[in-house]
Amino acid sequence: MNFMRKFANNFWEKDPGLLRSKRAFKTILACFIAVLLSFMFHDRVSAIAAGVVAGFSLQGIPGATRRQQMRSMLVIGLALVLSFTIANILHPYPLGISLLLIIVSFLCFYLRRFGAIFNIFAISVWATCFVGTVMPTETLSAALQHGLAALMGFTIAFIINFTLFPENRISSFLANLKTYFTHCSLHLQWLAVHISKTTDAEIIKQKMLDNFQDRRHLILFNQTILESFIRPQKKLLKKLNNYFITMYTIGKALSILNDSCYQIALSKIKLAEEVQQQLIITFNYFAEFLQNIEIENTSQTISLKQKPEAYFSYLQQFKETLLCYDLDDNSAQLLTIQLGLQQLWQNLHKL
Amino acid sequence: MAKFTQTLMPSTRMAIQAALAVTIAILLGHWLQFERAYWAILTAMVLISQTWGESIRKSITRICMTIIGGITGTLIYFCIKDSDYLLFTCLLSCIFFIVFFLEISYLWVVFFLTNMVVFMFALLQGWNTHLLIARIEETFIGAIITIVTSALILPSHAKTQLDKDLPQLLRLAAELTDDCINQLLHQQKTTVLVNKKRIRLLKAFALLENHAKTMNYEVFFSSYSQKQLKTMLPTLNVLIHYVISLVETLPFIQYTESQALIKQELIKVKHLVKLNFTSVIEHLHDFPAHLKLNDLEESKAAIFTKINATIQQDITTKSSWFEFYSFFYFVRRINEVLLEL
Repeated sequence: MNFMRKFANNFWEKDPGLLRSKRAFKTILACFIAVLLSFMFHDRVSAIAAGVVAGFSLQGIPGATRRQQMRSMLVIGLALVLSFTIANILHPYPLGISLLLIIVSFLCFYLRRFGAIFNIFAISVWATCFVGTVMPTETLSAALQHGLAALMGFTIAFIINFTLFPENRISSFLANLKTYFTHCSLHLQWLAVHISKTTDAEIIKQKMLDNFQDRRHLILFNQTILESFIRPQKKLLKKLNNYFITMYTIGKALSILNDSCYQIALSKIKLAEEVQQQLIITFNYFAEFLQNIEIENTSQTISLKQKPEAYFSYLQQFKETLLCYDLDDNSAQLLTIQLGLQQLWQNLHKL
Repeated sequence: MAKFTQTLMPSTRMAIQAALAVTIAILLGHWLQFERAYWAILTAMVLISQTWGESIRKSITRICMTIIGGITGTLIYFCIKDSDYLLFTCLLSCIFFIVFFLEISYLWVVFFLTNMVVFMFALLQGWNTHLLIARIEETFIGAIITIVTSALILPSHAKTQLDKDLPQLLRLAAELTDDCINQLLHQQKTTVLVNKKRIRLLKAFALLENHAKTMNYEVFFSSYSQKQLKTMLPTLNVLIHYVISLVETLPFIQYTESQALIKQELIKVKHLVKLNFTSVIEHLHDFPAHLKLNDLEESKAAIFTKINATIQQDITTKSSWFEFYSFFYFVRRINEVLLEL
């Protein structure tokens, strides 16, 4: 059971909100239905055309809202159907398909100058064009029939995309945010345990590197979601951008805390019992707050259910304890921990 | 030619390389009468990358996973070849994992893609070991075309990129450190400009990391050593961490009149750190033995003496120095990391 829970947690962290899994499921469903219907009414080549266009239509659709995503998908679908059809028409002409492939290859990379949004779109167009050149066709009417099958494949993909698990990018963003906070909470709990033990400094350093890598993909994922928005509402975008920056700055505060713990372990500084206890309590309370963050997403406004004011008193207590220490190299790490905790508190307060 | 390559945008350069790679693959396919030339064309196209090192990395991944995926798919096919339903189920499963891993892992995408090709062919016309060998051969040829094209046509080597990225990164770090100390001297909170520079610094580091990783694949063909690469990145990571920590600390510093007492020492510290940055940037590849970087021990002693004297006069000011102390600790750590570099 422990293994299953670990696997589920690991899987959830790789795919917060199950966004990728849902998209993958929609893709195979669209391909399956498209191929099945095409096969019933047409030939094998039409079935492949329908399946390929259905599959590629569902990848890399930009847009924050449903309407924007619909518009984007219509443009993408049209481009894919056209590229397949033109390529298939040219199939009997080797020089024609060679020139077409060379031109489309050039454009595929050239379009990247207009933004990351075009990356998957460009490669999808190239791939459907490529499949079109490879699929056998004898006459123009046969090629047009294959094109119609491709259009049917796109239509099926379009319907499935907006009826089954429609993508709510804002919800995915927030699910990611929640996972990130949970991850940070676990990191703080780990530090709380190891600050009092004589843990090897290298283990503490490795913990920082491991956590950084794990949190990085969550940050990158949210960055990808933000980049996929096309002309979103200013207020909403500002809020999401602030959340995104907070993800980063909280991660930074944790790095400062981890680094200080590492330096304490490296220099073998013996902390007073009182200071140790205060640190453990403070770390655990912040960990608890991060673990219990609830984010509401109601009609385009986002707010937190809890505020961290209660934890400010722990911060103040720790600061008062530091007054007993002389300001020298030995107390430098404790002062840095104090700074890291302040940064953490302030960033949580900004949420 | 190198200068011309630098002036082109990466997207244009890659577009020209892709068009040429596809052209070569098409011509070779016609000339040598490849059975399935389209696989070589497809491979040549998709392996074009930003730098030569990245192209090599993707090519090695592609070839290895094509072999492993092809063999796995073929073995599965031989077990279930009599059932079209099972073959179709396997095909759909492969599509599922391709889409799932699309933004996570190129390695797994290629593995499942190769399996998908096996099952697709199996459903359409049947699969056999001859097709498997042809697939591996064509993939290999496509990869070679990409590597040669990337190396000869408008090449962009990760090492060249790295030689530009590293001094640029250190200059940004130097500027940001300087700006932070200036803001402290003028008792200002973090400005918009400092925040923008912070973002630029982080982006510069992400770019450098990317180029350093792909440079591993060019190491056999360049004068950079593995050891240099291995020690450089973590050290730079630590440097960036402390520079960013400086920016993060500024809003927390409590400005008091007594900080005017240490103004001269802070100006000296600023000057010494700037000098150290300049020396490191100028001598990145060949640090002369006679050249020594400045440490901050003297300034540190002077500052601590003055702070402790202030605290002894008025104990209530002690807590107001906490954040400044952390700030100064980060400046010292930045200097220590420069000494390590």
